[in-house]
Amino acid sequence: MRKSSHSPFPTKTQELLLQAALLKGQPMQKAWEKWKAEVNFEKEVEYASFRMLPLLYQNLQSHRMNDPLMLRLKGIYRKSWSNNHLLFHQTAKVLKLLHSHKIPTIVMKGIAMTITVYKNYGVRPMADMDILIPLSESLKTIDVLEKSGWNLQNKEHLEFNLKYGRSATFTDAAKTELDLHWHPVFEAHNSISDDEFWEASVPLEVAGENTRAFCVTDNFFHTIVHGLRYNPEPPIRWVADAVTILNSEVCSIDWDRLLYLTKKFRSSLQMKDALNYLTKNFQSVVSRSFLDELAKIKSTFSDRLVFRHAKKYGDEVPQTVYEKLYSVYAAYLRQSDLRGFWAQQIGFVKYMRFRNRGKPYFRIMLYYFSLLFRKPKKITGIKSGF
Amino acid sequence: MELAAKLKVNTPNVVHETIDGEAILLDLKTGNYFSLDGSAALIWEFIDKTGNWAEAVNLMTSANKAQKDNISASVKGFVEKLVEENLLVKTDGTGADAGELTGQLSEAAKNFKPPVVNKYSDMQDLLLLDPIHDVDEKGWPESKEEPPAA
Repeated sequence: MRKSSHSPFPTKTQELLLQAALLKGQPMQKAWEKWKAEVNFEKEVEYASFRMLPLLYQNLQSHRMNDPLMLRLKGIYRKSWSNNHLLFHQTAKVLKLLHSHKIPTIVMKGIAMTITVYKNYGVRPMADMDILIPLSESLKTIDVLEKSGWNLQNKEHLEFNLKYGRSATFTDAAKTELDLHWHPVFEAHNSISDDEFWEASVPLEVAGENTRAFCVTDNFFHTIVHGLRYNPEPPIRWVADAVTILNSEVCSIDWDRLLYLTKKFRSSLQMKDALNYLTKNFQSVVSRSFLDELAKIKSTFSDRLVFRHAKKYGDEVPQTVYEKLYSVYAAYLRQSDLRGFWAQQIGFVKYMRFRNRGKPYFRIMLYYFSLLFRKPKKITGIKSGF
Repeated sequence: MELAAKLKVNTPNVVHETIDGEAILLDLKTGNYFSLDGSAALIWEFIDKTGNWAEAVNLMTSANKAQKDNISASVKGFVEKLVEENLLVKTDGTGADAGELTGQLSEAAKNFKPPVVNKYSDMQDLLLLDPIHDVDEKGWPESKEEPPAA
């Protein structure tokens, strides 16, 4: 089995699994046989691939494949189905709580994808719930959740996250995880309004509770922008989500809106790379005129820098001074709507001052100095927060 | 359970799906997981669709008169177990047409195997099982070491 490289794209082995889970007929069968030959099922199914197995089971079953692994795969599907239903049940309780305080909600990612796109409760295993609320309701929502037994994680970063971030994580006594978002993507930030995600949202029912979800185009946009970031556990699920949306017979993408969102949130590089990959490897059909218009979009220096960082380092914890500074600068540029070199640099200084406010300068310097030796936490006892 | 009683799935507390001839049921209130195979899955689907369990008994006993008493008693016991577990509740509503399930139930009656409710309690423990390494060849939730009590 080939090892994962630093990339948000699947390895060749993961690609075979995705093809077996997503394609139809002969190409699916070929990919399935190759994947089995390449992977030791007992020892080499890493987490990212494991999460694809319920979808694989459904595809193999729809092709009436007869294979000794089918019963094991069915068991994995059963577990995913049960786990997801329990999570949906929990999510409905949280939504009910927020609605009782007149806080509007949109459910994002897995839960919305399950109901609106996959239309199957077992194929997409989930570990947490993702709920979007308006930025203006964020403090009230956090208060409501905390009073109801949800514990805010990394509390010390909340003020910074409310200004420059997009979400916070909560856990309850049963270790259920809730990601509360006030911006749908990092790129939708500051003075860049993200109201249109709310305006275009569609009604959705989660375990009996009414809420909303992104419309299919916004869902596709979110899948690409959120997915194309390197992660130590390769986020290959974006491929499955994107291909399922593109191949869906019940929902179709509004290519004009997708182009508009791509331009507005400066995501043309992610979109180009993703669509190029999907059309080449998954027989996905994409609007020709959309691709032509996409090719005309010129990226800026900061767009390129942010995307290069996302592909190479993404959500990995920086290990050196260079990686740390690169990550901080890319994180700043990603959410900044400032244009012009000097405006951006002044903005960065303000960003850093806010990021490091209240922290003793000698500890900050010690932290960066210790990065030179690649062991910051061991030396200073300081987590990556500067 | 009176034959005249109409039944329905106890939604929204109970969710269910039939995959590859097996009905899987989850009681969200108690966390109990259930699995129904063969005739049990067909009877479950029949009741879900029509609400009429007496009609299921009629169909099956007509298809296998030699085992009439055995079938009647087994199906009655099975349905009572489902009601006892709060998976089915009484209803006044009327159900839909059974469609192709009618033929499938008759077929199942010819080689009758009594319907069984497989119950797996303690969902928290079950969910902790690694579905590749901790289970036998039947897959989750069948644990390798010791099958959970039915």
